[in-house]
Amino acid sequence: MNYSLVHYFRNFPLRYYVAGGLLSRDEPSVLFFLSSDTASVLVIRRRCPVAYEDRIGEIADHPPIPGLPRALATITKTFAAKLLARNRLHGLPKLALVPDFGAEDLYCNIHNTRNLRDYSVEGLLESLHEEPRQVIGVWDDTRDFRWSVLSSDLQEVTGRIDHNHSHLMIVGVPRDYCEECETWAEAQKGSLFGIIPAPIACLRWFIEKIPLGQRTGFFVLQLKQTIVIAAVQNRALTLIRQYENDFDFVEKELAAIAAELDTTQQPYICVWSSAGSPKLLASRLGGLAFDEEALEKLHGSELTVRNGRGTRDGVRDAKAYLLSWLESKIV
Amino acid sequence: MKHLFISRERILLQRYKHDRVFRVAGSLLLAATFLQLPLGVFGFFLWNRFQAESTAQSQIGIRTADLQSQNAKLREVRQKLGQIRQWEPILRNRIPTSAILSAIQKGIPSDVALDSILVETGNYQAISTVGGTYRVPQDYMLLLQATAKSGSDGAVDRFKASLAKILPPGSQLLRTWQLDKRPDGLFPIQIQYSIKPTGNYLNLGLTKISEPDSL
Repeated sequence: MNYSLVHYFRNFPLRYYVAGGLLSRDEPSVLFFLSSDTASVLVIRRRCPVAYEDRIGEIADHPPIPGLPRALATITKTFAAKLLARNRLHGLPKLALVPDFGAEDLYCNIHNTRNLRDYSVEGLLESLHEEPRQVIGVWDDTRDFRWSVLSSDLQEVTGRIDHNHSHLMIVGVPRDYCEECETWAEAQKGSLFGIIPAPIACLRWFIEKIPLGQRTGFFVLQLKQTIVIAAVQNRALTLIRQYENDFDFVEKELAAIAAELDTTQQPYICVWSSAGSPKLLASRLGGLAFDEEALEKLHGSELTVRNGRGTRDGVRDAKAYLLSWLESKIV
Repeated sequence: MKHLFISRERILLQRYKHDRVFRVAGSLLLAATFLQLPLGVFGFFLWNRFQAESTAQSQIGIRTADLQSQNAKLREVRQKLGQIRQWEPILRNRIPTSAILSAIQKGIPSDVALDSILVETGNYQAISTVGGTYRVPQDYMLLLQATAKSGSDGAVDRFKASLAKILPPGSQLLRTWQLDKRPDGLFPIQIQYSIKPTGNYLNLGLTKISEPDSL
């Protein structure tokens, strides 16, 4: 990051500081899961979930949702301001977006570093920015993308690509969507801490939280538009695939991938669903469904938010658990 | 995963807001600015005062230039006035001799015969004017010689009393002495006065000019 004193003075956040941001230490975190059918938001203050709201796609000035055109509406108060007012919170929000992209809007794949021509992550990103075909090979999307390079355990990497990284994950999302999100966050007077595609957030959560040991695991993510299968060996991603929402096809593909990986032991299969219950798909695949009970154990306790009566209500939504974990990581 | 897919510019701006180092730097900057506030206010008032004084100074300058231009026009008049003022001590030290003579003529008693009148000047002061240098007397001496007719006792005293009334204030009788007897048996008397040019000649019957002629 190129810091300079001139840039700091030119962009001195005086309004933010004067508005109380300089001394404020408990600004609310607002995390969105953005799917075309079930967009939801979790509000957290001081590491404590305050509110969880579903179906926010029907509210004016909602954040950009992939696959859903934005409706122009005249508003007097921003979405974030109304959300914080509803929950009796104040301050400038810290925002994080978890969009559920379709397969055509999200590129994510594991690459063997021996097949990469660039010697550094910065060079790799530059090549992707110039022409994705230099790295990916087959690429026919004409849109501009923003790219990111992650390690196989989904940590951000920089610098030289050496032997410590046998595999790297390249992730790309449309530049237009990112800019739209940044503009929206600026209009909300908030700070945008990340646009993390739903599969990336989920997989990082599971890699960190689920102790697979030396065994191979398959994480199956049932999203709105796609089903993502990720193979994990030694706490590192070795393979990731995106499929259309076709259970039969996914079942066959999973069997083929398991055969390809040539696992000696029966692999773990964990199924997580952002929309409905994962039990159906889990039973088809012969895996463990991350239902409410499993997620509660993964979280360590029941996820509760306060209600209007001063007591707390349990939130039994897979997305809320994901957002709660994500808040501790990026905000 | 923090700042994933956020542009570098936005990340920098957010770090300025949230990173501890930049917040400390911001606090120091704001505190320093706040400490400068009284100085700024003082400077503002000082600047306002400087502006007001500058305006007044420029107005005074304009007025000065105006007065100087007017003064230049009056230079010739002032010069003429100066020349006239040079005549002031000359004129002031004059005495109206004809008025004194007239007053003596009016004041002389019928039984006293005036033989001679002598007016002398002394104690000269040199005064330079444009036309040259003038010697202006500071003292005037009036010497009268009179003879009283026989059998007119106290006539000379009446004459002196009459002169004391008509001569200008400050005039002083210096001496009176009797001369030798004449062949007709009368004794002439000489009376000497010192007259100062005081400018007050009302006793002589002169009046002030109420409206002096303009120059």
